Amino acid sequence: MRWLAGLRERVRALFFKAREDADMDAELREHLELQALENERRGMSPREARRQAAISFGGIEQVREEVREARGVMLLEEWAGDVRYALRALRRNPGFTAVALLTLALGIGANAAMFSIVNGILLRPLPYADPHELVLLYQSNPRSGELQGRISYQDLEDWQARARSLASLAGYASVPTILTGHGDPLEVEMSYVTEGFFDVLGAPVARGRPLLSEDYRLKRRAAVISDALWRNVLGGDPGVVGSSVLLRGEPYLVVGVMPASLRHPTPETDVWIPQSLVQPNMFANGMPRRGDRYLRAVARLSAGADAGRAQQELTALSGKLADTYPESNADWSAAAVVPLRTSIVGDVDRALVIVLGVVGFILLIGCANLANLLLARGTARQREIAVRVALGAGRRRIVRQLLTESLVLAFLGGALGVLLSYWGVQTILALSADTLPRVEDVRLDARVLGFGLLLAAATGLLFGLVPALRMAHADPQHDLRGGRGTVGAEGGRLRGALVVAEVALAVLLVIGAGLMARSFLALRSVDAGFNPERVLTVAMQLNLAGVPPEEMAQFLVQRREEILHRVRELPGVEQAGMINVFPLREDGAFSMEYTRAGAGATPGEPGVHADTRYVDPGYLRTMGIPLLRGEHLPTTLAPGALVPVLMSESAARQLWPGEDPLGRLINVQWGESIVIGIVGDVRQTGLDEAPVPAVYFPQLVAPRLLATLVVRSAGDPTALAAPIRQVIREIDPNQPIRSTMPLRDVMAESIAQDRFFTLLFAVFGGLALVLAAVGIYGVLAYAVRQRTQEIGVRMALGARPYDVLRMTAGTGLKLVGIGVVIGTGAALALTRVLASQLYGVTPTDPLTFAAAIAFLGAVALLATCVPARRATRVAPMVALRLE
Amino acid sequence: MARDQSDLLQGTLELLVLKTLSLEPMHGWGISQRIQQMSREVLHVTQGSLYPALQRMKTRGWIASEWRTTEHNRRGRYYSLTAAGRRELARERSQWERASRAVNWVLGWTGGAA
Repeated sequence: MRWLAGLRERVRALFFKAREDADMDAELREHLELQALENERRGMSPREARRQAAISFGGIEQVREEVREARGVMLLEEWAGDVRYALRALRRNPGFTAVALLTLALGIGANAAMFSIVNGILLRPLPYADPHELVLLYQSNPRSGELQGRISYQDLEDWQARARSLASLAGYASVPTILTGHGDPLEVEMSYVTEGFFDVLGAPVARGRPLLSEDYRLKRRAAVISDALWRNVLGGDPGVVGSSVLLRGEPYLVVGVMPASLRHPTPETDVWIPQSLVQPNMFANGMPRRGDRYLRAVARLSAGADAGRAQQELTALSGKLADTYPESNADWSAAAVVPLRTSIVGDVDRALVIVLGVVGFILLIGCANLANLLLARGTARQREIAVRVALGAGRRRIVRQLLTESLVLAFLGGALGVLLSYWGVQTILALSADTLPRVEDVRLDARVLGFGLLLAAATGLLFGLVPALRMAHADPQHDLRGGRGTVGAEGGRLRGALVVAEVALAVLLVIGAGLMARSFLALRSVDAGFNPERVLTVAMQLNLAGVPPEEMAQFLVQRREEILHRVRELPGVEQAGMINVFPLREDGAFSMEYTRAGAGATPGEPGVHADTRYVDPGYLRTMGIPLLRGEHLPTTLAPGALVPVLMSESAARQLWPGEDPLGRLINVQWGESIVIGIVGDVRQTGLDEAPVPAVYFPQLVAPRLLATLVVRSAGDPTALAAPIRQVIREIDPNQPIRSTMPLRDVMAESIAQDRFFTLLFAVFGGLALVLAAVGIYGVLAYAVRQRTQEIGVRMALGARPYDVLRMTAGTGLKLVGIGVVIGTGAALALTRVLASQLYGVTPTDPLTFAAAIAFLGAVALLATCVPARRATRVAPMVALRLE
Repeated sequence: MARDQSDLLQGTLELLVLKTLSLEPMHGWGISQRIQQMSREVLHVTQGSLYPALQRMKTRGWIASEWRTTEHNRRGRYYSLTAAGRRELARERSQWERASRAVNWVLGWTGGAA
């Protein structure tokens, strides 16, 4: 630490020079006074005492100088002088300084912005106590392949009692619910949580109290609400604790408010209520049994345990449960444990890190440009430096001076870059269109500033060191005599190598951007299996407030019919239909295993895992999903008859390969169903995922709470949004509408993340291209200027403009050619990392490679031709007189 | 002050200052008085060497300084030993002792084989 104290002392000495000097003077004066007093004490007269003290002290000015020197001011003053000198040099060359600062600000700004985002999403710890201990638990069904399944309350209790690798665990089930009484009816996300949920997360309430044991035992309607709900909907009322809110028409007592940092199970969750309040109508047989897997689970690992060990232990426990309760648990014999962070961050980490690498490459291109500029400028300053070397300045001293200039430039650029990054982050997050997790945690913190600082220092050294070393080692004799030529040749090679490097990097980035763009285009033009033209979707959760439980099923059927009926009567509506969970939207979708029934079926044979949806007869027609065989669902169900279902082509093929599926039977929850029609496959789960087998049930058999209305309009579908909202308000003024969105937008939203990353790649690829073009241009323009005299001689000797053009452009194109070859090689090796981000295009897609190379080649040609053409206009006489 | 003493002081001044400050924090004048007194008026510390030495030692982190009120109710800059200074004192002291022992051996040499 001693060096630190010394450094502090030196920095103090530099910045508090005036104060230090004043202190020193006071101290020396005090010394004189004391000596004089001492002399008086020994019997001298006051005047004599003072005189003797001054004599004994000696030259006060000399003492002061020596103290200053001991302070170490000299070294720092020298350095401060370097900085001042550098700033002067930068001011003298405003053109160079502006170009350099712009390059650095863009390069460092892009890096700082991407790092801010990576820092917030990937590096910052989750806002919970000891977040690394938090994991999500899943029960797994190895037979069906559903590895991240839910778990029943009973199984969860058994896990809790026996698992040693878990310190604590809690379950929760989220459902959308309706909040009324505060302006328009509002759909909010509510989570039934088991006792201790908040303790597992280590999240204390911000106001009031958490849910207590009595709340669970007495089944109290107690609710803990989110900071967002409290502030945005309840007006931030300080007396909120103790007040009540209406959820599904029932009053709940608000007992606590959570801090904004609590975002579990989802950032949108607004209400947490005791799990003991789960409603019987959620389950087939009234209260939940061991077979009712409806809970998600979060847990805190015991000290020393990790996710792998917990997974082993829970799998063993699940195996035992499967043996003990074969009826409900036979297939659910395993478990999965995933760190909470992994689950939240999802799969964006790879893409983000790749983009961070891309902006790093851009900064490297910028560095190559700056090094080139410095080299070119260095040639102009060669004489200045030669004079200094001749006058005795050491090479180290000169290198230090030149490096100081680069570092001053880099830090100024870095400061601008960090400022720019603040704006850049906002832009990037705006572009991301809510597809990134944890954006709440993205901010300009100390780590980002440190990163910017470090990057600036590294950048300054990177682009400054080689030019500085080269200049300091130039031969003063040669330069003083005004020589030319040899330095140019060697410097030219170095500059050429830099151009090759930046062209190679640019090729790599442009190819990457091209691949992303092709992938995105492929994704956008994919055939989803339905016709999205002029279709509007209206998503909602039906309001059951005030409906007695035994009437709910009937009510839901009627409400759906009523809405459909009224909407079909609206002018401009061609067709309308309804589905419980809309394709491409994940929440609420589920799949089940269906086995063959009836003649030819053997018990225990494997079935087909099919996406299960509940629809009215108009849904498939409105969506333009083709009926391939058989007939559509009926509008009414005959009592006692088999429930008719529609199957997608792939589901039918898997169950009855090569046979006629029409009229066949399948096993379902309530017995058997009969297949009456085969429909086209649809990309239900995502445009980038292959169509999955699907089964469509009539919504009459199992009325669901969730409903998405689909309407095909005669004209612009958005024009129907207002009248449809009006109709629904007339049917039930307390019915909230989650969203009204044209189907095209739903599709666009489902690939918004791909769009975002494609956009980032395009922007950064374009930036790389521009920087590389500037680099090529700069080097060639400089070379032409250097060779003006030579060109003049050649032209005087009869060279035609064409020859001059070929000579100058040839040099540039050779460099570009080498760069393209190297860059293409690098791309062949590196685009593999993009593979997981690409859809419908291979990482080495020849067409993309060719197009990217051609594009870059064209830009490079342009950057080469401008200075080359200037060379052809050299007037021989002017050129020759230059000397 | 006699110049012939400054040569001796050059190498050992820091050791003497460290030793003096190990007794109690002191201001510059006090240090020079104390050294003079402890050396029985043999060693006189010139200000021209004392203050630069104090500054050097401060930069190395051996001593710290602060402004305080002196016994005469004036303001003086007091120096005190830091932990690093204490270690340095021990190191320089053992070095000095070794060196002076060696010099004494040389001076006490009477010739002949040991």
